[in-house]
Amino acid sequence: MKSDEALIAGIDIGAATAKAVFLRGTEILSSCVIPTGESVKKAAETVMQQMLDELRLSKEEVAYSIATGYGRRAVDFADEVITEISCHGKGVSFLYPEARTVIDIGGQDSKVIEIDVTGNIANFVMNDKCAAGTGRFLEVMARALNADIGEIGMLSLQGDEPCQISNTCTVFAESEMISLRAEGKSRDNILAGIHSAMAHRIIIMGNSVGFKKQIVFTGGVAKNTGMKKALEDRLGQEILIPENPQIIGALGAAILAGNKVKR
Amino acid sequence: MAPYYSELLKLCGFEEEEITGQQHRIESAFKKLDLGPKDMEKAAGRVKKYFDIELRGVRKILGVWIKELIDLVLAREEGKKLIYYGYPPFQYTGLAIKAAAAAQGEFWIGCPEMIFCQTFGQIFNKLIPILEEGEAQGLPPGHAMCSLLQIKNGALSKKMIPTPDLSIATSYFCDMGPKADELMQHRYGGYPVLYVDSCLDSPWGEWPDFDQERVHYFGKQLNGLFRSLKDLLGIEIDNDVWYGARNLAAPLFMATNNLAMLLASDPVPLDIADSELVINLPAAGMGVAIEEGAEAVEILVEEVKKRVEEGFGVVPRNAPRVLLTFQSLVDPVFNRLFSEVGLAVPSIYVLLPPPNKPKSLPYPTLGEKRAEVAMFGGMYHSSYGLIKRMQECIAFTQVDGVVYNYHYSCRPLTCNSKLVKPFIERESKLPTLLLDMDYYDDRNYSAAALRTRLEAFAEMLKAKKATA
Repeated sequence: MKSDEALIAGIDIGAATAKAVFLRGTEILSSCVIPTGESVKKAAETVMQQMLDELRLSKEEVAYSIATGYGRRAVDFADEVITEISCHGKGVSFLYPEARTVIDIGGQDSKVIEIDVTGNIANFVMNDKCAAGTGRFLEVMARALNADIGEIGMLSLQGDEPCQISNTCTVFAESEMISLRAEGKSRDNILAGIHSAMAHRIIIMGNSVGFKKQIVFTGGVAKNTGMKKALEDRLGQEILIPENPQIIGALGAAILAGNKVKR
Repeated sequence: MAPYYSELLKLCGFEEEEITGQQHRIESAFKKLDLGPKDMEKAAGRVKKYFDIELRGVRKILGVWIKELIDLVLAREEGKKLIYYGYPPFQYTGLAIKAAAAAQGEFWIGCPEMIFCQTFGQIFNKLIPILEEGEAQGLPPGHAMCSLLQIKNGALSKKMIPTPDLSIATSYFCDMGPKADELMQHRYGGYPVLYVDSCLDSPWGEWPDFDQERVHYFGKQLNGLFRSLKDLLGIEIDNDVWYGARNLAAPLFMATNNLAMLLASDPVPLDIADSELVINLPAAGMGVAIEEGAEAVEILVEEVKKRVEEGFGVVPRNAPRVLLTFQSLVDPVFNRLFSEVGLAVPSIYVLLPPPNKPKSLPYPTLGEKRAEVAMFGGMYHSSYGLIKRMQECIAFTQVDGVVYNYHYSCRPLTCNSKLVKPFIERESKLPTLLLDMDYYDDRNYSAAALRTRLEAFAEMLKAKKATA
């Protein structure tokens, strides 16, 4: 079988969602996103099986697979594991060859990655212990404000006087939301303040790496239009978002798997 | 039937006759420390899993740490006076005190919290109850209190270690040390504390020569310490004593230096989980750590030399090489991560001896002379000096990258990290990874999260090497 015909798979087991991408050569055959749930191992098997069922293929037909994401080591059927940092770089570079910076905000971590022309990592930084600046932070804030996580970005764009959020600790920020509501601040303005504070935190973290053009935003939080706007406002630069930003890690894993088959 | 601690102690290099001959002391110390059969069983498993006990030198060094712990715990009832000093270590000062004190009776001199890190952390994995006690007794969690001081506070509160006859607070670097010592002095019987202060305000570029006012100030503090030691305990330290004291530790320092040179080989012959056990021996205690420690490190040097000759490595030859600031002093799981992700660590910053100072001024007092040496070689008195020394280490070890892991509650190291990364990346053209962690408390980080960063750093360095 020629390497271009080989079926290859990338599986990204994140804190919130499990993703899979199947490639044949450089053609994306299909992708899938499911909630991770309580078992990363089970999520990996489920997302893989869903893809195989959809494409009417068997596991044996997959020539090579690479697992990534925080649950990568639990994917025992994968041929190899590679970190999500490397995979996001490759995935972005595949879609945007001119990209040099990746901002990835996932369920439990956030990263700023500088990539070279080949999509290899040139530098990177990740959030430390704290969940502030991650998707989980937004989830908690949405719940505190009785808003749908899928809508908070749009709602934040309607704020005309963003609140000053003094604390981006997830727990303390939740109580701060309640105080702001008690003061009569609108939900939209609170959300605008939250997005702005989170963007500030990401940019401070990423300054040690820098934000070279083009900047591509990936991960589940990239679907949040308010966060895109908040980051663009603070950076003064346009940020690109892939059509499905959640699958970029899995896509990168699949591309790296393809490289293995070519060798 | 063999005593319940026999297996562990043998794994840690104890000879049979040492176990039987010291039975009463061992059991008495372990009782005070609440270390029972289950703890021994778990520790034996941990030692087998994380340390290279095929090497007799490693086993012996583990044993030296346990002996230091026993000596410390029993010091008071064995009629010794105790002098504690803080960490970063006061090693030459401690040695000088030991040398001078020899004529004044029996002393136990050392850094108890470091001994707890190496034993209750590395070997027994039982530090958390001590940390929690330290937190409950005035150094609460969530306030970025240094975990090392929480350990000392907890061990004193639990009466695992005796209250000292004197404590030397090494406030020459850390601003929290003296405050915590004040608290412990107040809580545990009002023992005397001597404060050794220094001015840490160093302008960028101040290295290798320092503002003379800073040297004089620090020197004056050390001279004050020497005077107080004479007044309080009759211990007199002069030039002769000082240089005589250096001879006491010369074998250990020489063996450690020899090991440092061997570790720079490719492939790297020893895991940093094992070399960590060596680095703090001179910092810990001035007794068995200096005497038997030297012998144990010499054994290890011979074994590592053989590995180098045979081309044995803990990671393959040509693996990406990184310079590390410091290992975890309590957590072999973190230390093992480096070889697990394929990173070779030919040295850590503090293992390589500082170069000789190009010129030294004729200072009139011992304190000033020692101050100048400490400031030149130490990592704390100048951020610029720290970075310049890192560059020397980089040149010697021929690394491909730098991992600057800092103790998150340590303000000097945390601030330095923001200077180190851009400087090394710009001047030495080496990728630099910052890792936020805790050297003494593994509750304050997730080894799994740090693994992702190290693994990604390894992937990046491998890709760079492949395309170079």
